Amino acid sequence: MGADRDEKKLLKYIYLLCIVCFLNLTIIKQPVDSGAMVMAAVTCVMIGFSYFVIRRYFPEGDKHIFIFASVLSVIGIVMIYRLNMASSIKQIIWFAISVTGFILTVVILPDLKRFCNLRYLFLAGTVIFMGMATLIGTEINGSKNWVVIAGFSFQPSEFGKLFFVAYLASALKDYRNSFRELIEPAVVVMVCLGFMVLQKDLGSALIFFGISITMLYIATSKTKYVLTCFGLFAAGAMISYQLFDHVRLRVMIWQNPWPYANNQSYQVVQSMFSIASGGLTGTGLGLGHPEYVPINTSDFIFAAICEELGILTGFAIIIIYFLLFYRCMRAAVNAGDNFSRLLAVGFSAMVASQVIVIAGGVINMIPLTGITMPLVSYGGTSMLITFLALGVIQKISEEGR
Amino acid sequence: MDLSSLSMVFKLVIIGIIYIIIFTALRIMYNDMKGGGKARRSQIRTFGLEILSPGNSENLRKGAVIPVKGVLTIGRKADNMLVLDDPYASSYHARLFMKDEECILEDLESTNGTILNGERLLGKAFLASGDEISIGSVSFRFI
Repeated sequence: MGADRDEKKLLKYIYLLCIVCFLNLTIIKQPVDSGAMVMAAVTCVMIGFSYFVIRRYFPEGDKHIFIFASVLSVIGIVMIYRLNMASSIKQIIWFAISVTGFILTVVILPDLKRFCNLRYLFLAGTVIFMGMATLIGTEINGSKNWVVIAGFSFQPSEFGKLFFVAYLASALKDYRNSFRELIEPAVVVMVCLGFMVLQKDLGSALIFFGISITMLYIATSKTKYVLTCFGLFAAGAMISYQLFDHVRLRVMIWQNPWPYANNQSYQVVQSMFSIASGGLTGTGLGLGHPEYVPINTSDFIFAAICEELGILTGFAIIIIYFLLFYRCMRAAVNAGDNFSRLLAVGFSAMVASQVIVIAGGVINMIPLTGITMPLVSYGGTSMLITFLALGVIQKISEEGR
Repeated sequence: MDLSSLSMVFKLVIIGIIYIIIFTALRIMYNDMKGGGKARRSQIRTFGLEILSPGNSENLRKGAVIPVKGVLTIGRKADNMLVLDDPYASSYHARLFMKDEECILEDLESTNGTILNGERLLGKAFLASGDEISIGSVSFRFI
């Protein structure tokens, strides 16, 4: 079959990309760094094996989702390796765990329709994970959204996202033209947004807003609800601008970062400098100075990539995200029932809004809020959650055929 | 100096590969969209139940074929997908379902049993084309 051969070709290009990138990293260090080649081999083997499993046992599903996800992960791992070797080894372990999670989701998860009535379980999960960080969270980098349990730190809002999407999907799946059915989901969304603002995690608040508005529109297909939501959002934004200092600070930085370049807006200014110094094709791996950008492995990895590999790679990453989003939406279109459809829409909106918020933030297009770039950034939970979400979408795409 | 020129080459190669990946993916998707619909439909195997003898059921006719898509429930109660008006059939007698391109027959602990190729079926069994199934006085051939 032609399509099969083409897909294998695509896979070969991914191996090539991986090997070339790590080869580059190997030889730029003065004593030649053979560890990089080991990393390349491990990554290739992992991608190849997972692709083989998916193709062998689930030929009906959409294989592009995994391919795009692995391209993004490869770029991420390469960049993290160049910035911080220790993090990248952790990252590759997380990549392995996430890919395993992805496959297990596809293999183990029974028919998704079975989950569609667990609405209140999902609701409980959402509220627990959302509230967790407010109550027992620790503050890292200015937002109180981390929870440390037994030396293992994670962001509960990431897990909350999965439950949130599942809850909204099961709450909105039976929507039949009555406004009353929307009140309960609306209250839940507001409570979640409230928690996020209290935790000073504005990026997640934006993501939650993006997810809920997309799912609302897909479920009801009414523009007036969407407009109402935007109205409420504007009102909420105004109120939180008045109430909270950190919101005001972010907006102030966004409007004009230059007067505060040495303190409050240091991050954004450095990131813009670094993107600008990269130019069209970048400085080349290992030759730029992304170390001036703070938090360069997670939130600002987009700036680091743009500096070393150029804005062309930056565009390419956005295009790949777009294609990933397109494939996810395609799974939603082909899905058999409303619940799966809304689930797929919600998860793809989750990835897409995350990319918009962080890529926009790094280039100061919208107020900067620190969240991870899905699949590219350093961060275990983020990667695991994204792969689990993609696993569910993969499952849906398989059922849909 | 040669180090930086080397990295220069590398970065162009890397950008090139990333764009090749994007274009290859786009081409596959385009082909997928253009000719995908027809090719895929013929690949999916369709199953059906041919009625060999309708027994007492008046709603069945000899030689008719019942298509099997996803799940087919068989029984005496009216909310089954295939209703058998037969005193020997249980309320919820048996179930046919698809898994990974195979069709599986499951007996739902019926009183008088489901006979597959002359033997009483216990639990579940994969069906092959030509298998004969009888429930009460009704018999089918799986095709």
